[in-house]
Amino acid sequence: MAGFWSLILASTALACSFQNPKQLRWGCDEEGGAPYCFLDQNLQRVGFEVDIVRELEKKIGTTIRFTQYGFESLIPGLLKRDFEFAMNGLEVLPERRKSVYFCRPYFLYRQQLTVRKGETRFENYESLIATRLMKVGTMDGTAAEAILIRDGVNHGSYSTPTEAFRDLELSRIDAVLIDLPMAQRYAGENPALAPAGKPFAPGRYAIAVHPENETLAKAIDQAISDMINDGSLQKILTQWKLWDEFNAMHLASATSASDWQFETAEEDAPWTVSRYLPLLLDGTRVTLVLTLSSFALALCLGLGIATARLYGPKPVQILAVAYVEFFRGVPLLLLLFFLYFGLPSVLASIGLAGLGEWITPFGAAWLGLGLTYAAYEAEIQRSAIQSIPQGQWEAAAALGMTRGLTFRRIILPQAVRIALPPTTSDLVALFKDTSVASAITLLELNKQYQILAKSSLKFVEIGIITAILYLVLSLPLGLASRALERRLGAGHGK
Amino acid sequence: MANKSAEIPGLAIHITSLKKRHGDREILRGVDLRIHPGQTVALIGPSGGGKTTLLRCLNGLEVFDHGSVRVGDCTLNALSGQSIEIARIRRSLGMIFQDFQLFPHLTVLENVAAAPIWVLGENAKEARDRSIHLLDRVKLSEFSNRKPMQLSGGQKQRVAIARALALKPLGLLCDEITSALDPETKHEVLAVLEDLKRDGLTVIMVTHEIGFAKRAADRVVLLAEGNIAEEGTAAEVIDSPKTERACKFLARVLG
Ligand SMILES: Nc1ncnc2c1ncn2[C@@H]1O[C@H](COP(=O)(O)OP(=O)(O)OP(=O)(O)O)[C@@H](O)[C@H]1O
Ligand SMILES: [Mg+2]
Repeated sequence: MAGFWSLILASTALACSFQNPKQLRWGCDEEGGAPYCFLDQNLQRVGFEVDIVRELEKKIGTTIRFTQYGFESLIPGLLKRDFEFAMNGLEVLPERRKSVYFCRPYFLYRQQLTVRKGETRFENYESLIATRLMKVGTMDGTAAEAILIRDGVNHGSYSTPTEAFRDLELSRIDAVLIDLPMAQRYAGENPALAPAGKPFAPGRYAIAVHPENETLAKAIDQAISDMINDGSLQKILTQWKLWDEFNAMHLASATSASDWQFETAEEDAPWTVSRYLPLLLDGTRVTLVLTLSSFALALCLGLGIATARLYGPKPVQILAVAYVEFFRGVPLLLLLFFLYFGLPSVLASIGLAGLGEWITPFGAAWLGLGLTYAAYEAEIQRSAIQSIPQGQWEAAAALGMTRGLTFRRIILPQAVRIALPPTTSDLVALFKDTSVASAITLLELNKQYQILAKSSLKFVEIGIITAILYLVLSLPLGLASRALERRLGAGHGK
Repeated sequence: MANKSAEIPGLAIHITSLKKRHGDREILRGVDLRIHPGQTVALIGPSGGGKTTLLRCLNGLEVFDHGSVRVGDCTLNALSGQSIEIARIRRSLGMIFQDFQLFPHLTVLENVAAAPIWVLGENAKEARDRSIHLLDRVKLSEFSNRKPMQLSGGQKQRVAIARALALKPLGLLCDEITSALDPETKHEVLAVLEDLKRDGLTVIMVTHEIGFAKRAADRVVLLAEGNIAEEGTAAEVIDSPKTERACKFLARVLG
């Protein structure tokens, strides 16, 4: 018993010491994070937040260690205490404020819509909404994303701004809605792009601290106030060309408390089931269509490859083997990235830029899944075809059937029945693998879950509903194929 | 039926110095055989003697190394895949296998109607009517809609015969078609064969049924080690064999 209590005491002491360490860990994502925090050409970590952190070190009197963390996971990471504070252009969103403590804002951002130069279909965000046709890119888990969801705008969420602006240039999307600092940084000097309309929807960037770590929260609040008062913050923001009239007028008076005069009321709308379920169902539809269409591709292509390998001339057989080995070996994620982000430039370099424009997230995912699963299907069908006894070929030949006719009418129908069970498990595997397409911004079920869970922080609730949706789809898939197996299997055998 | 055999001339089959090797093993060492239209020939001989190989050379399932085969007015030469000639031969010379080789995914009726529809291009209705008629002939018409798996061995083999007859062949190659059957079901199948003989079909059957060979065959040919050891009428070959090879074989078979 005594041992138990001393263990509790020791761990409490450890927890306390963790809250007031000599060294603080700063959670941040340096990938594509300009001008916040990024690596320059010399691989030095730079950015206006890096400069603010240096100033913080001086004012608090500790050293601060950088901790690389995925931007979308910063809040969960902070709650898991993987670092003491998160600072990475974190917007003070109502849902986030429920789970973490936000310190005093260090910058006031606004949203900026960026378009291709010469865009005539709309001139600002309002007229874009009115068209109801445009697709807008933004970043995962940002205030801009929340605005697009709120307004029901067709959008794609990227993990870096580079990818978003690239797709804008490639005409895959019609505009990018993103925090002003990023818009200036990534589009400001690009002659092909231009801002559309004035910046709008102001919001606050603030450092997030674990809600139980009040000591650190107070220290940072004090340090930021000092930096505002002694002008060091303004100096840093000016250096990074971020200081503007809006910050000059409002930064000194801004707090992270719940109400802020400039914030729109809608942002506070709660994440109820009726708000997120339609989005999840939308994702479900995309997942289902992607599954069925890419599986159809895999079946056709797989049959072609299997027959090429079995009956083609030697060089064709070698190609078929190479295809199977290649696509079984390449990770799906890598393939999707290549098809979506890499293929357009490959096409452009051989003078087919127009073709590249047609590579949508759905198209790339369809192709990638289809090509990969064709390799698995080819093997399944090849072994099924080979398992039909030679005597069937000879019996058909003796009846005057040609090899082609025999293959189509006698061998293939039997092979299909044999291939059905492994093909079914292949279909279920493909179904689950469609979630990889979330990496190329496709709004399928998994991606919708990520977006919604991150904006609402309801990881468990929405997670369970998403899992149910996946089950609801995969169960009938399994049942239907078993029924088919029974029907086709009836009367099978010698 | 009886006068029909006069109208439908069977198929003449001429085999001339046929040689076949697998690797460096000679399977057939120069076989010469002339079979007249409408004859029923029983091919007997020890296991491995080349009986199956000889049948397969006749309808192009096997390519041979030397000699020639004439079936009706089609001629096959050594070492050539004359697909047009082979296709014509296969239409006039049906084949039935020891292990049936029915198509398991098709019904009994579809098994029979398959070749008429897909190979001869008959219309489906006509082909089915004819198939039902053929199944009737092998006494299986009430099994039309079953799958092969649901039939006994003897029934399967009778379907296989109907299937071969559906191409309206003039001859039949039967390779130990009763070996996989028990004595009672053997009888059903052999009865069908005897019935066919009356139609004037040329039949070459590999068989171990010496009794049946004696009763039904016009000629008996004994093939051993790739050579024809002895041939003649059933009475000649089976009851009074002249060669030592034939005596040895028959002594073993008849016990
Ligand atoms: N594809 C092949 N490759 C090599 N050898 C073969 C092949 N097919 C048959 N043979 C050989 O040819 C010889 C004759 O075979 P075949 O099947 O014609 O004999 P059979 O007279 O029909 O015998 P059984 O009465 O046992 O059926 C056998 O020794 C066999 O091993
Ligand atoms: Mg044999």
